[in-house]
Amino acid sequence: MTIHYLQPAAQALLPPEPYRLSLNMKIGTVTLGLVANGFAGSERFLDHLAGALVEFIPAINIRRYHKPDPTSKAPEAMRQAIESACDGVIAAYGHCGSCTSATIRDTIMFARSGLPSVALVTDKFFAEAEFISKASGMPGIPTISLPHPIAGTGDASMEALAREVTPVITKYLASAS
Amino acid sequence: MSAEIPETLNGLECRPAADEESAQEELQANGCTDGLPVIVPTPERVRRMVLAGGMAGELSLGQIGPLGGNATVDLVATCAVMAGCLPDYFPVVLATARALCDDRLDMHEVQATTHNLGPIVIVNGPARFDCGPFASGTGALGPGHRANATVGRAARLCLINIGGGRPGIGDMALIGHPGKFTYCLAEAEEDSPFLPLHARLGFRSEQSVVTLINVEAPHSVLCMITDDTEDTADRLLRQLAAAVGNPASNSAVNGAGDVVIVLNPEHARVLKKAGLELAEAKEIILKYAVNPRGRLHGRDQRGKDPGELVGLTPGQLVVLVAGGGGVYSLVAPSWGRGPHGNKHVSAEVKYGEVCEIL
Repeated sequence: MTIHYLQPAAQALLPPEPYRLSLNMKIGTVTLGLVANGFAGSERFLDHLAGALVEFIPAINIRRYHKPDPTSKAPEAMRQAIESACDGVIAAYGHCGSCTSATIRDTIMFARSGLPSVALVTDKFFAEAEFISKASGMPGIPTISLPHPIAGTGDASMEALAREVTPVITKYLASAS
Repeated sequence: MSAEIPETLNGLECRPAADEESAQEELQANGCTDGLPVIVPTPERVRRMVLAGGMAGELSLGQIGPLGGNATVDLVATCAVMAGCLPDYFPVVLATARALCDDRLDMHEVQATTHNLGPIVIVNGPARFDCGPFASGTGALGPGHRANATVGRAARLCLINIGGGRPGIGDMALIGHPGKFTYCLAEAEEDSPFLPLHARLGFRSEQSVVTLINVEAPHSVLCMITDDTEDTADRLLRQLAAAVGNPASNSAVNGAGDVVIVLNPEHARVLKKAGLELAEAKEIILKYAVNPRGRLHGRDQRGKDPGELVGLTPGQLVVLVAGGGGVYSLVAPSWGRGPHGNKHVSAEVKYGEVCEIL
């Protein structure tokens, strides 16, 4: 005999908002904000990424930012400072559960401020990153998967990864996904 | 679909299934359960549950992260039915859901973290009997107590279905812990020499209140009471402090986050007999539960004085009395992270005539 039951799974309340930002890196000097979320090794990895970006993009300024708490979104004062000083943002890195969630929400926050933005997340947390981006209303936020782990792999490994991922990051920043 | 069954109930989709077994399998396959069999949430069962709460089904209690799903009374009732709650329990489930929606509980970050956390639900006041009974004595956190087991489970099903807390996607706890299935008990107020928790938190004793805190699994704390020597209370406090200050726990490492202490009634009486109120006992525990920063793990310690003592404050110790008589109490440490620092949140259980009608 047929029965009926209520489907209990809720849907995200926020409707999906497209990501349509792009950064033109061929006209003049661009300023990129590199936001370290404070997870182990994030600052060091961004040191290497900054070096690789300077080599890859001749006309570039790098500004560095350090979040006080990897588990929470970036403070509003940091968002305002980045919005006023930068043309684009790279947030790194999603390397644990809460810091992945916060990194994705930060990246969406910067995108909603009009800044082309990219999140870097390790592959172990990529499925979570996709879920958080959908739940946060911007499923198309550029998110790049990096091999897990990065923390604790040493400078040589981090530098090689930074060099490898730099062209991918710039491609994502330059083209609306 | 038959003419009598609506396609939706206040926006909730009503699905057909060949029989209860098929519905059960669909709920399991769609990730809507905790892995255990559930009571199939038929519209009739859900309506009966909603009625017991005395609130309109379409009313929203808020959102639960990280998904941010809308916690309507209907949806919370659906989770309560699935968990096996009796309608009598529903006012307690509603209060629990309101706490889960409270931003101060940081459920988004707690579900997202890899740390092994889950909300413990502490029930105080007359609802322990009127909307239960909720167990507070022997094995209160263990199996065999329907209200405790199903209300805690309803909270988890809300986190899964409304908050999106599915393992590996929206619930990133690395290993998890058994309290993430169900984690609910009442305080043994009548067996305690101290004011109950909710009264110490500013509620009136006659109010009914749930208090939620995201904590690790409980750690057993041994203290033999073999004599009346003066140092018995001090030995107990040192043992509790060893668990509170355990340098392997995040709350000790971070010097942040609320920590739950469940005193068994005999341990509580030891403290009272020594002339201590809970406020004084907390001060002594915290005096013992400090670690020099140099002994603590983590990046937060770098560049700081390694001799500086790291510990918690009295407001971060959430103490209640529960369990049988004996030599064991419990401590449940926490995470100490998130925008609000892993604090407790209380919500009043609102009920009255609705419980008596049913």
